[in-house]
Amino acid sequence: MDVDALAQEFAKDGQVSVHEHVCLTEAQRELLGKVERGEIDGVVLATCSPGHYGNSLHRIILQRLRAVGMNRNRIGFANLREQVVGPHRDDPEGAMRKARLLVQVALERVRLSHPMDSTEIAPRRVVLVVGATTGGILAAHRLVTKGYKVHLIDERPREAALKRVHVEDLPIAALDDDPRMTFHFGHSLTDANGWAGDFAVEVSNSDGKRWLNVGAVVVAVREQDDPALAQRIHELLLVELGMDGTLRPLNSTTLFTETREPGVFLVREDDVDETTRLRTAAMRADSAVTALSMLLDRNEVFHDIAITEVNPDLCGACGTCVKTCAFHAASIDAKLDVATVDTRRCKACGNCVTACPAAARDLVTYPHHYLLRAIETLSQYPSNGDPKVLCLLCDSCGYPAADDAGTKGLQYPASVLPLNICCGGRMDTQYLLYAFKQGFDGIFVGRCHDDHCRNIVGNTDMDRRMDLFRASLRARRINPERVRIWGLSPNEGEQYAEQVNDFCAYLREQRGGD
Amino acid sequence: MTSAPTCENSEVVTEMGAQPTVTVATSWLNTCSGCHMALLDLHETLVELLTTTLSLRYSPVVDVKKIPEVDVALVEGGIGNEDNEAEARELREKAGTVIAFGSCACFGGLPGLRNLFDVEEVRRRALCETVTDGSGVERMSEVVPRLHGRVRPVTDVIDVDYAVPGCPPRPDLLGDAIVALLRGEKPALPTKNLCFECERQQVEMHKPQRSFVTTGVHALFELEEINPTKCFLEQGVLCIGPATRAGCHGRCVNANVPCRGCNGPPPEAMEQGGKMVDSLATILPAGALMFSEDTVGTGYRFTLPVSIIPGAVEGSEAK
Repeated sequence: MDVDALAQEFAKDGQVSVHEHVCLTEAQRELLGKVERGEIDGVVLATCSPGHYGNSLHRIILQRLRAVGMNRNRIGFANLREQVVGPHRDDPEGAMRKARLLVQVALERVRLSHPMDSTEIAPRRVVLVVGATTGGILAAHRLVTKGYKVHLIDERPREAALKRVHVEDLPIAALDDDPRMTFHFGHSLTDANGWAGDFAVEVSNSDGKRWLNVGAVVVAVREQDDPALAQRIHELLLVELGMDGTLRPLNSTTLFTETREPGVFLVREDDVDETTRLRTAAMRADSAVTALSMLLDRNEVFHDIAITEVNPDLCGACGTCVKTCAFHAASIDAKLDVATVDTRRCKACGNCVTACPAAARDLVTYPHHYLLRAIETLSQYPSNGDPKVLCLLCDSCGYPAADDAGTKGLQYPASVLPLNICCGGRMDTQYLLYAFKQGFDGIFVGRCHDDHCRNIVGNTDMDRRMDLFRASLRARRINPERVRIWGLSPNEGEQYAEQVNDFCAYLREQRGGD
Repeated sequence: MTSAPTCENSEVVTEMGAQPTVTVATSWLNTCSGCHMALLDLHETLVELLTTTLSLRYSPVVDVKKIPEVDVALVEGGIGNEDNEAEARELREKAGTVIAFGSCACFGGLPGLRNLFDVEEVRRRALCETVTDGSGVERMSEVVPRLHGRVRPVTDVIDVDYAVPGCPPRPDLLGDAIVALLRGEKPALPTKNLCFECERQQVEMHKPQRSFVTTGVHALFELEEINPTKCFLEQGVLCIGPATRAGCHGRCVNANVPCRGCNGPPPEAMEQGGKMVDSLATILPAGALMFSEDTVGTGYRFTLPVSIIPGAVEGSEAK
């Protein structure tokens, strides 16, 4: 694809300056300098995917842009590598058209999303370790040695928990006598809120519960022994749960102890060879502690508060958001008679925004007016005979799966146009109607597999909405099959390509039948 | 509902002059005439208005064939046929101020549900199948105005200065609106949803629990008793109040009848039916809702013509 030509097109409008090769030192310096001098209001990285976790480039650019004062919501992505170049090799013309629209949408997002509040905190040098496994105990020991205060909880009583590890190999006696170490045997993790550097976690047993303030959490559980605990960690700390029931690291090669939730680290304990078990556990504990100290040893950490906003002029305090939010982040202020958002609990999934019947809520990062504009922009894709498909993709699974398809070079029509929404829970029935009105032939919703929604209930609620809304489509004589919902995992690019190809074939056949 | 509604600003009106000085036209288009009946609900205030301020020059209740030039036109009903459209346009030309009143004028209203059918189907049903002589033959079709393919709100066809929704609208709001407009003010509609005005108590709705507020969904007649002070949704009764703009002061809910949404969607919602589905899905058991008689008619009872897709898509076939 002729990226230079595309860049020149955008440069022509006078409001966009083009920076090439942003991974190179000089180019990055120039870009950051311009941001620092206030010459640039927003940045669109029109290269590869924001969700390309294997590549930490974006994370670093993001951090550097943030450091020179760029608001998180003024940084956008147009994913040209995985979603245009990769999957449309045989259609350079279509690829170019699609690339143009994706850059336009990214620019709109940067222009239309609301500035994100951020907070600066001194991270707490206290760590919660969940699970008295070999890895958990080794991590605790390393952390204590490095000077952190550590709380280690395990649901089993001390005897039962320690029976499961080789006590003779582990520094338990040293930990027992270390003033910085506290064991909470027989305790469960029952609630959590906050963010990297400043979490509050609730640990309970039959006698009562107490809140601990910690800067980070190390999860060292054997998921196969404790599926319920793994599920709770998924729900409370938002660590993604894979299809096999294991908690999912950021990637399994270079970032295997980090998770998508900053401040939450994994020391997984899976079945490995008995002779290497201790070594593997030690290696994982080391890796987690290194990553963790990169966070907690800083004097201050930024936290971008991506939350839902409530417009008090529109909110009638009906309570729909309270019923919808799985994180207990929504409540009604009885005095003001208006809904409020608990910033420490809100995960900005957008489910309450979809549910709010008064349209009083909006996401800071994916505002309603941006999504409408994006649908309009993508609908301008000039039809070349292929069905025009709007792909609403959740950030956790659908979008990474589309990336995966592109990375694997799987081909599908360029008229399949992606729009990432945070979660299936943000799929507003109004957007379906709007997309059909704008001339899309079909809408493909790519979200997490059932029961694997990152935001716990986004999938469930979306399915319920869709079940109810099909009647409304049918009544308008819109075939409900023109909306296809598919569960994906981030590594299921084949599924994505296969489904969108199949969907296009279906739509083509339908059109032929008219 | 029992006491006669009063126009809060009626004193102001009487101050404006002893002789009627403001000329008025009223008209009904594609509608049931209920909004005109609501005007009668102004009771003595109406008499006062007509004797002191308003001079009625054209109306379904006045035998004048030609629309005169007037200061204010009140338009009831949406645009369903070519006559409706012509009359709306003429009223716009002849009147200084046009007020759309009632849900049909504002959103197309109940007659707008016919947008889900082909116009030929509607004609056959209305003019052949249901004719009272039992003949099944369409008569006098040459004098019946040609139906439009779709019902539209008045606001789609002409610019209106103010819209007072409601089925029927509250007469006092209409009175207030007229007075305000005559003074050159723009009366403001509330921006929140009906729940803000509703006095019924909510308990389950404010509990941060993911369970539904009830186990079943009931039609009113299925219930032996309806608690007059408890939120309808919490009793398993479908109430469109959350997806409805405030402003009616909860006439229906105060009379122990759930909201049907006649005040239209809240200002920032794009439409009512979609929003109803989006919100109810987490409040009431979806399974039970799916088997409710008519979710489409319930969600869009008054507002299908202002929906994002305001009716059946022409030339397409649903599976």
